[in-house]
Amino acid sequence: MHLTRIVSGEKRHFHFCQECVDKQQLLKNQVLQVTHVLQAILGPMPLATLTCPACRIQFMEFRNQGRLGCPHDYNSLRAGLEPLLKRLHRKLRHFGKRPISQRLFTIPPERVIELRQNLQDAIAAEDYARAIDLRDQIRLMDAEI
Amino acid sequence: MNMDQMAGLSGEWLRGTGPECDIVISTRLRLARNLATFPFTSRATPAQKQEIESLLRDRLTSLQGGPALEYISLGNLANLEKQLLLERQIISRELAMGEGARGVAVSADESVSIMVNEEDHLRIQVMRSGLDLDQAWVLTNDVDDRIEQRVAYAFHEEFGYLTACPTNVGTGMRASVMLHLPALEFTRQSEQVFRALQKINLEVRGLYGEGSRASGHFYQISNQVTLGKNEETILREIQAVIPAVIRYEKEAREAWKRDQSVGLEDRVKRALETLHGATMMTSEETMELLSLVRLGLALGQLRGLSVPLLNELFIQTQPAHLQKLAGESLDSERRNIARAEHLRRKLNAAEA
Repeated sequence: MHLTRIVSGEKRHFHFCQECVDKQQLLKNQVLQVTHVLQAILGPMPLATLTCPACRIQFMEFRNQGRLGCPHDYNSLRAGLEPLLKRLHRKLRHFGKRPISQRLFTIPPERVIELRQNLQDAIAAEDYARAIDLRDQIRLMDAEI
Repeated sequence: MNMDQMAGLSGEWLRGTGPECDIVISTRLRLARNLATFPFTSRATPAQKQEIESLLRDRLTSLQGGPALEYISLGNLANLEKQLLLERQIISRELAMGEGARGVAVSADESVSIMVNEEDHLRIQVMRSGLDLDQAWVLTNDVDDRIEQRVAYAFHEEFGYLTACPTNVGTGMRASVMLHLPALEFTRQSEQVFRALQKINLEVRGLYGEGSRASGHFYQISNQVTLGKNEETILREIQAVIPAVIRYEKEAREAWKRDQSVGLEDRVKRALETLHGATMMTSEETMELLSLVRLGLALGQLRGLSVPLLNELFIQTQPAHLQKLAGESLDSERRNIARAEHLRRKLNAAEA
């Protein structure tokens, strides 16, 4: 497989043997995975590996689909999001309306999202005792929030 | 809400009596809001989406004060009815085409509608007739306050209201004004005007939003930036350009009337005659011809017709509305026949 990359106006050619293509999964279902190709060239990018602990979305996933996974991503993927926000809005700080009743979260909301994801895992693993326990924890927290 | 009856009536925002109503059709404000303790809609599991829907359905239908809202669940609604809600702009294409638990809470006059599990958990939308950004904001802000008392919104000290797409973060507000600009388009000046608007970060789109064509010469002008400016500033920036666009359209109309008065009158008359006399009519041709008649009316060339009637015909001649009015499902050919019949009947009644 041949790949031409243009870096600041300069053409650079990369050649991959079939083994590398297979190993790096550069071609998946005959579709070129651009992010994988870039990763193969540049090594693991710090941004690409940013992951939200609450909803588990990776920054690259967000870049591919254009939608974030949960509100907490604005903290956990912040390093990747800030340049984008700056490009879109030119500013990084909200001006304007804020909720009237400033809720003081005794439990961080992202903790509830994390538990919801754990609950999905427990159900998928058919670990129903754990699922019931998680469900009860979520209910308690939800009531408090 | 009876959707069979809905097709025969116009939403409040189409009544066509607002300020500058011959050019400005309507003003729409929407706020994107999300719950703090759930993943965003696109990442939520079917069970989580159900949980979000049932929670919000309960809260939205029991808000204190303001207009009563009725909840319509889209999960098991027939395609025709989803299409009807879409044609009336009560819901977005994304919600209509979506999957799983989702719906809309709507007021009886259709001026307030709140989508659940669209791109964001909540999309609060307020529609007003004519150019009416201030009143639209008062209403939207009030609905938002009342919802906020009942649910925990995802809000960030620095980034404001958090949204599934970073293009909406901050205020979460998109204000848009829908305009009818036939003369700018016919005189090929619209591109120029739109480019100028885009330079100051305003967006111009067709009748049904993102990616849609500007059929019937209807355009929506809206803000792009949502972070770093407060709601009032965003509204002021839109409010500031609309009079200029209206003036360009009016000048183009006057110049056209002055320079090609006979030609213009001929086009308007032919449009009306076709609307009266056709046996079959496509949706696209209807939009085009009604647009010309609307222009003729504004230029004082027609008697008997009114802006509200024409607004109503734009909506009622769309596919789902025709089928609801007919009380049966119609294929495209039969829809074209039903459309021509509907137009003839309504126009004759108005001119009688």
